[in-house]
Amino acid sequence: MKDTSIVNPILSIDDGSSIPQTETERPYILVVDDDQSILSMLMSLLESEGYSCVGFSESQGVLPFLQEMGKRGERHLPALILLDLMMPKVSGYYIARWLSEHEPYNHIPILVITADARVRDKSNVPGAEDILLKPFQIDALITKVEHYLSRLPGGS
Amino acid sequence: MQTRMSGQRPQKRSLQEHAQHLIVLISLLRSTWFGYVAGLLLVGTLVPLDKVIDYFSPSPIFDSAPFALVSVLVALIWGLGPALFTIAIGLFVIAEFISPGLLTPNIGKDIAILSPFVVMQIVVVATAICFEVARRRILSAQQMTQAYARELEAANQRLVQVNEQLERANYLKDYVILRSSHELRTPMTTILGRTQQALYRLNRSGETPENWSALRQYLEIVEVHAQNLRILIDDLFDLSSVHSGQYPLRLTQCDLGSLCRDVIEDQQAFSDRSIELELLSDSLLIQADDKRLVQVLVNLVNNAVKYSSENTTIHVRVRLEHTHVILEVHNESTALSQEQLEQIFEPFYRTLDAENSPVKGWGLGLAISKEIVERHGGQIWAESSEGKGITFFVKLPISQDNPA
Repeated sequence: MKDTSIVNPILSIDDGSSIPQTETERPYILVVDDDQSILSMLMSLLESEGYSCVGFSESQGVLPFLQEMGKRGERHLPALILLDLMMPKVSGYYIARWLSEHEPYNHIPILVITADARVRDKSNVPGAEDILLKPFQIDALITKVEHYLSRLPGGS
Repeated sequence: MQTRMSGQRPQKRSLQEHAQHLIVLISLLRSTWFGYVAGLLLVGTLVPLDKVIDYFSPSPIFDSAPFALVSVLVALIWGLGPALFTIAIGLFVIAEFISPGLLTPNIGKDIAILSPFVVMQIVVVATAICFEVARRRILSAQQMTQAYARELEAANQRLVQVNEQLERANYLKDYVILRSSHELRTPMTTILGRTQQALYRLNRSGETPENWSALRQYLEIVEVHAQNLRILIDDLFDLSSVHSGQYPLRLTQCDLGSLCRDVIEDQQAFSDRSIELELLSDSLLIQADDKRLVQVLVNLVNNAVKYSSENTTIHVRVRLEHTHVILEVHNESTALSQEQLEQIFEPFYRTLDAENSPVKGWGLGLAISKEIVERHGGQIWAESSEGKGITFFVKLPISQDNPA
């Protein structure tokens, strides 16, 4: 499903109403990390692999953004969410749990990327599909991303 | 309901007061000196009583029996001294007022008449005293047991407190390890990720001008994060070494005023902010490790610079107070809650405002400062109120050579 057309990185927005409809119609990855340098690294990595990305460094904007996309229709929702856990204001735990408890967001796979060494298993984070501990090997990240996106209809 | 409750309280209090008064009265009545008075009064009461009995019933009865009973009563209540005194008074009263012809010039005859009465009374009094002594020993043993129980309870309370402190210290240590691991992993993620990304690009498309340019950009990012990592490792080592006392303080006599002047000069040059220093004493000599103390001063002044708006002035004041010198660093930043003021000296604690501000940090500076100040036998705390900003206080013992 690799898509070489890249959505420009969007950081710290309250909701997605400013994003043109056509840009979120294509499958994209939502990346959430309060550390700007890790966020931009993840996005540049994924974009160099040909994936479209939307990034958030302020976690309080994530749920309004997803709700706005949900209003537009299910195809506007991200194909995968890369989610940090320890973030100020709204934690990754809260976001993962909320998404897993609400339709249609509970269909979006969530790959948790955390520096919290206590989180060894996805059962520690309700709603998470998989866990990747920081610092991670970029091969491992790309393999996991490919795995989740290949499950999409029409994925390779 | 409230009225009724407030009405019951004074009644409860007055009952307690009555009980206390009663206890005082009983202890006065049980005292030995009152025993002598009581013996005298009781024997005195028996004289008219005996006369009245004689008037209504002239038949001969054993006149000394009531006196013996009074002696036993006094012995039981007031002990040996008052009992012997009562026997003596009783004998005197019998001989003088009850049976005036009892004593004769023949002493041997008198002894023969009186000795059974006296001996009998002394035996009874001695038996009563033995019981009383035994009872008092038991009471005293009970009181001692209660005192031991209270001491044990107090010791137990102290142990519970120490245990709580140890548990808290242990929790804090675990928390520091956990947060350190998290904070070390975060820059490491960028360093490792960018390095791998660079290699990935070079392996994939070779040494193209675009890749060299990207490589330069990645190396710059890696350097920034590696430097941050070094600062974090230094801070963690600092916190650990000060806390454990691994490196003893190098105490010398130093003037806090001149240390403040130097630090403020540097901070002013560095930040271009207005920092006012007020020294309320000519000599502010303290025994301190000057390098460590400068570390505290830099941290406090630097925090004040970082977390207050640029057009405000930072005030630093040093004053003498009895046996201590007090340093105040005040800035006009947003007020903190009481809970935040209590947590602000804990390792890795940052307020939400600080966390969301562009000011980078790990929340270790104040924790290190607290350890340093406490190792100098001082105290550090912060006060804050709405509209008045935040003031950090450092209280340190003054040097003996300081002119008062």
